[in-house]
Amino acid sequence: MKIAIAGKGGSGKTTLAGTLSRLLARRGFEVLAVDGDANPNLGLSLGLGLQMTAELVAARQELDLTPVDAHPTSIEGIIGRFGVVGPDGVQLIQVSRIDHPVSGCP
Amino acid sequence: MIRPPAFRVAVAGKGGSGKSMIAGTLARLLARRGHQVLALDSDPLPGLAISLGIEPGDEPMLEAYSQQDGAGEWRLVRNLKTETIVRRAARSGPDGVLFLQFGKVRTCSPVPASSIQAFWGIATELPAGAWTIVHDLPAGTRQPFGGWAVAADVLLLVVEPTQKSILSARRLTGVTELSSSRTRLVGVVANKVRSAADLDMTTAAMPGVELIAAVPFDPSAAAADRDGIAPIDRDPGAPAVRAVDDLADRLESIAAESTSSEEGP
Repeated sequence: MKIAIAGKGGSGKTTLAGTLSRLLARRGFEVLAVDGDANPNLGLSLGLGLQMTAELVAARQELDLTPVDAHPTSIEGIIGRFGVVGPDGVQLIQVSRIDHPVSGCP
Repeated sequence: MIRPPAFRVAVAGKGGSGKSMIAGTLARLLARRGHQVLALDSDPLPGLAISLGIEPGDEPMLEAYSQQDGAGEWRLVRNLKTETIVRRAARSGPDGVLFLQFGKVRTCSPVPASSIQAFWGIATELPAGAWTIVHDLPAGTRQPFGGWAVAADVLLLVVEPTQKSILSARRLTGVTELSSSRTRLVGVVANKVRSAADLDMTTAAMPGVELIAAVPFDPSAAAADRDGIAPIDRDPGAPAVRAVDDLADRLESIAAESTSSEEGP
């Protein structure tokens, strides 16, 4: 099953996604948590802590930085390369993160 | 009437940290002090109107005021003054605040460059000495990083005492890396502060970024949010509104200092 969570900022999307992921993992599901926010904080709600969340690599940026022939060729490969395993065995992958501003591109 | 020195301030931060509350209340208070205020909401999911006390509308984007120049770049139309465009496109709100929002993206297609550049033109080309701009930026890092933030003299990072909000604000400090930045000061506005420990945590996590204001957690502001009315209209004397008034003091003194230094010997 794939679940997407949307809503206004501050309404609790991340808290809900993180807690739901942990609870589903405890029930025996194999859970992949995907943080699709360019300002990604899901690691905090999953229990990975501030430092790990802040330093987690973002898949898109890493792929941009590596030659195409070195890219993983399967979804499992992408998760294996960029994902981290958190409490209760939840895997987290961060899609994209904006670390540096780009001028003239609102 | 002699207006106080004008300035441009942008408000950024994590979703739900209180950007619109701060921006809307600040815009109203500055207008009461005699500023000619343009309140900008560049979020395609708009929220500033309610905090300003304006009925949320369904504004079109600004494509109608955009044209391509010789190089094919979109710019504001040249046959109208920027002020004229603002007066036509913006809505008038309480205390004389003019309000302009980016407008809704109605389809899944990309946001038109014409609309983006027209909004950028207004944020940057309005006569700087005449208009005080309060710009409520979209949540998170996407558009603030993209350039709108750096059109402001002062960039306020609204931070509530949570690790998520602090992490977001720390990422946003990267905006000062932009060489095109005209921002003179990036500061923190701590919001929803319940205790001295909350404030200490926030300032400790943002070393080197000046604390410009501390806004207390305020049930009145939360109730205004619940009811969809402007905090300043619900209770002008509420602690959060008074703290934003202190912020207005601070911003006015920053603007006065820079005006006097520009006029200096």
